[in-house]
Amino acid sequence: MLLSLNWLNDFVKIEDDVKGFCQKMTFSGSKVESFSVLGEDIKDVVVGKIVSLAAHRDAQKLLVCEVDVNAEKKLQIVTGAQNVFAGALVPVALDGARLPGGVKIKKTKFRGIESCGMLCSRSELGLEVSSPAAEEGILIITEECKVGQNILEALMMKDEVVDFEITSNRPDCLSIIGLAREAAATYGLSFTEPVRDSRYISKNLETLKVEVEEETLCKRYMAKLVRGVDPSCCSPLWMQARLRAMGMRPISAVVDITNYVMLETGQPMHAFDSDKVSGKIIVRKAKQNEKLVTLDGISRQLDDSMLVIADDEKALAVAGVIGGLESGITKDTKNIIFESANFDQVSVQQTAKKLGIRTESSQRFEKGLSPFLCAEGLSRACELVEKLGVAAVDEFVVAFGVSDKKPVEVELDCDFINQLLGTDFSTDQIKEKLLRLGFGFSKDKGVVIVPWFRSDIQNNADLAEEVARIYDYNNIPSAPLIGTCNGVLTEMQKFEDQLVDLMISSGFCEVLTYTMTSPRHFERLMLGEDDAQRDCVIIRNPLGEDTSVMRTNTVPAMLELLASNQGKRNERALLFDLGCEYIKKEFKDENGKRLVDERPALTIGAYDLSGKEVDFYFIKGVIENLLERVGVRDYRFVKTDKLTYMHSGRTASVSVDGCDLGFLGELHPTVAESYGLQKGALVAKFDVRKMFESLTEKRYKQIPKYPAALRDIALICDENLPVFEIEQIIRGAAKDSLESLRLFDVYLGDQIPQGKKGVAYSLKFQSAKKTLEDEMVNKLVVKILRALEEKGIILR
Amino acid sequence: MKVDLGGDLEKIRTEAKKEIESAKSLKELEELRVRYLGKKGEITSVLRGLALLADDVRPVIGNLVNSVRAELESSLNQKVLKIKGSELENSLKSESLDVTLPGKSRKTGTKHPLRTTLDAMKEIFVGMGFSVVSGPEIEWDVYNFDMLNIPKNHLARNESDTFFITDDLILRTQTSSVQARHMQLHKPPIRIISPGKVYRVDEIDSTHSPMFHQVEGLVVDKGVTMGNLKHTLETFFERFYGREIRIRFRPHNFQFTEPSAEVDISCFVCGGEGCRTCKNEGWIEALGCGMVHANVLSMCGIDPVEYSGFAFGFGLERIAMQKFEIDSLRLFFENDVRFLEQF
Repeated sequence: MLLSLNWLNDFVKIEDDVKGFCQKMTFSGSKVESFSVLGEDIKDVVVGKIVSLAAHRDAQKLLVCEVDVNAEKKLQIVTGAQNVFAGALVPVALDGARLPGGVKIKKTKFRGIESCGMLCSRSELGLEVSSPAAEEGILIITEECKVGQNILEALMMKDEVVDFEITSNRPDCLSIIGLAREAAATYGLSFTEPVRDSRYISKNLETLKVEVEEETLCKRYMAKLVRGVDPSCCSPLWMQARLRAMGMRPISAVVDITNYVMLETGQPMHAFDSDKVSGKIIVRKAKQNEKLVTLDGISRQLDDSMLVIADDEKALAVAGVIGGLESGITKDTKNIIFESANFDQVSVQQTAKKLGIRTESSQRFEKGLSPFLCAEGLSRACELVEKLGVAAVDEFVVAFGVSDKKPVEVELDCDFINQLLGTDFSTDQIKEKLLRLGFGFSKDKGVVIVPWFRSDIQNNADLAEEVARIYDYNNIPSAPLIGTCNGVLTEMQKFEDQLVDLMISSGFCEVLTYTMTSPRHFERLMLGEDDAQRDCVIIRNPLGEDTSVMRTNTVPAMLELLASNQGKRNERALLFDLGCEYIKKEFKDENGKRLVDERPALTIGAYDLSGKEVDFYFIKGVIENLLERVGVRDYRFVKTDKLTYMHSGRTASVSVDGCDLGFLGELHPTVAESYGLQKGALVAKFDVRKMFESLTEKRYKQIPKYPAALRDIALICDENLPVFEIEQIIRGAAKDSLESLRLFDVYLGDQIPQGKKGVAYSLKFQSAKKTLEDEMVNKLVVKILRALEEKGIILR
Repeated sequence: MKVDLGGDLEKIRTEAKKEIESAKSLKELEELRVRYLGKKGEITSVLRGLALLADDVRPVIGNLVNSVRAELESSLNQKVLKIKGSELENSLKSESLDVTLPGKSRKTGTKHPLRTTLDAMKEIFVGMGFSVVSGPEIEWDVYNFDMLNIPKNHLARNESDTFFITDDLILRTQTSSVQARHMQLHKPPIRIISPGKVYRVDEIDSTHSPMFHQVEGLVVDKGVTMGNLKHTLETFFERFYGREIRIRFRPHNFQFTEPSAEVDISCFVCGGEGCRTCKNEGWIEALGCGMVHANVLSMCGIDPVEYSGFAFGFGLERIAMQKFEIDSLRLFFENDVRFLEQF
């Protein structure tokens, strides 16, 4: 919301510079975004009076004027404009003057005749031109002013404009008057509400008929007929200057009045050409597919959710949003109907959004205006119509809806206010602050009467904020919390932190991925038609297909990141993500029913384009270390070909006691290709909750006191036999005496028969009770070899 | 033959010591050892000459010989150690490395900068007695809106602001939803922070994203005041930035708090003098906060007459961007390893 300080000055006199004003207003609750000083780009332009003029002796189109600028000598100025005349008051840019756009004016000669400055047009002074007719030549000043007066003063172009961010609870501040009330309260100055002449809203129902069909969407509708508009009437300079300062373009007296009233009072106004309205005015829902050409010349298709203003035959305007072109004000308009109404905020907001229009009017209605504002707006419009001599104001007004101003009352509780703020204001101090803001008090002073324009105040907490902001929040003393509380993390939170720490120590960088994804990933992952992952949570109003569903699998996001890193020519990436998968599932949590299970997953992705280090076994090593460190025991890796998007020969599932924790492996080459990844990327994913459930407590195990005996054995077995099976046989045969076994070689080649492989183990035998004698160890080895032999695994 | 054993000895001693001193290698020293102290060495031959001496001088000379022998042995040993030392020194020199060549150690990974930031915040708040609480992202609108005093017709409940799954199931727009859930189940005193992902209908650009992170704080107890809120935030910022931070409150409007405020902090880079980080303002917008609205307490089953509380909400991305001087929010989600490895 822009605020012209000149305009503000009509209501409250602020003796402070603009910077100080901005600061004070911000800390009393009206946040200033920025401010600008108007007229800064114009220097040394004054009002001049043309004393005489003559034709240029060598140029037909030039005039030589003698101009009085209230200086020692009259100035000789050459102009090409033809609209000047003797006695005219015009803007004169003196020698050395500056104009908008960085233009400098200097003494110069036109075909031999000296010109000591320049007469200026509207556009040369940076004033918008309302019609082509108005820009015919030099601006002729019709307002009262003095010769030699600075043009900025004469044309009221000097102003300071402050831009406020108005919070949604204060629609009353979307007006000059609203901000004037705040400014007065901030500076402790008095503010008097404008008094309106009651005859402007006296009723006569005979002439103008209004019918409100949708009373919930239109709480109040006031209309006034104004007859005999002088079509040549322009709005005065001061009004145009203010409208301009507030970012609006002056158009015509009637339109300017509606805009001026809206800016000043906050009440959006509309004006209809009364002769274009047939029969009565009806406030109704639009018909499905009803058409209306709006003021901007665009033909709009309406629907039956939208509120319109119509007459007996057709829609005239979209209520609170934009007027219709046909019933709009033109230069031929003679009779007008002013509309000052209150439309439902949600209805206006939705309609404006559907139509893709945001107007000053719709933006105000969207915030929720008081129905009591309608009479204010209408009265002010009438006042201006008379003041400007636009027409005689007929006393015809119709009003519908609420009219009683029944104020909201709050029983003042000073203890509550002090308690909430941490202050010790006396009752009088509190009252003084509320009075400044326009609040009233009942006779016994125990009840606060909320002014009609403050729809946001309902209770003592609201009053506390009013008191605090006038006092300045920053004056409230800071005080430490009393009492103690234990800050704790849950075991699950600590576990997640531990996972992050372990992944980092293994060299992986944590990533952050979007949880919203595209259903197209289902195809790219080559999921079956009936795969459960396809049953995902769908967002009804997504930004686009790419973020239209909640992911049921974290892998695609990881693949996209691997691909984007490859695309950026990063040779190597070791990434992990701790984020959720969103699984449709009805269940109950401590707060009741839930429809979606948000399952945390640890997702790992890796590639290395430069070397072979990052392979299946690299990731497996990382996982093994992770499981050991967090305390998952007796986990098993089993080859799996159940995951459509993984390499069927290079993927393993990881389980504990038959419970699947997750998987790891190489990405399926087709999937890699569809994500634009080079072959060989590695992926792993673990269910964090299941991991957490498989944790075992760590207990100290005695470090063995007796020496260990080492034996190496080299074996030959079927090439496809997983070594895990060999290890199980060895462990089974050796029982407790085998402290550990370590695979130190796997080989294929000349010395090994076709279809077989060689494996070599180093076995460590140790007992907690005694030193194992050679003989005993040898017996164990024999036992192991026999057991292996039974399964076709022979000593090499 | 005149035997001047004493004079001979002295001569041997002087000469031997000189030679030992000037020896350059272990080999030379070994030769000297043989020449003077060996079986056929000069000292040994002097010893042999003792037999020719008179009984009365023999012990005197004998002692003298032994002391010279001991002296030379000690000199030799010392010199050996010295030469060994300098030889080792030389060999170490020949093994010298270019210490400016890159190190071989495997790099550890990194936490995402948002987690680094969150961890720092968590640590401070836990230290101040706050527990960390989380809740669902796919949330009933009741918890996200109604129980936070956001009426049915509020603009935020529109499809242009909130992602809807069904009419009453949404992607939470604020982690304040966790406050409502927590208050329903726990009686005061309550001190919690709830970090997590939140969602709003915003296209991604350098300061917006449809998914981002908030850290909400909530304190409810008897006699909690706005002064307590100020103190809590002051303490947090001082610990977070490790320097004195001034904070200032500006009145604002949030549905679930009354009074409400926006908080600026004095610039943690320049301390308020004005710099690039604070755009020469000296102040940086930090968060929103306020006293929990009585309606919110009531709806969550807490008596607003007996209890009061405050709530505050940080945008995690914003804090992290400020802390690390990151100029675009997109970087958090792009996850370029050249970005990630910097933290």
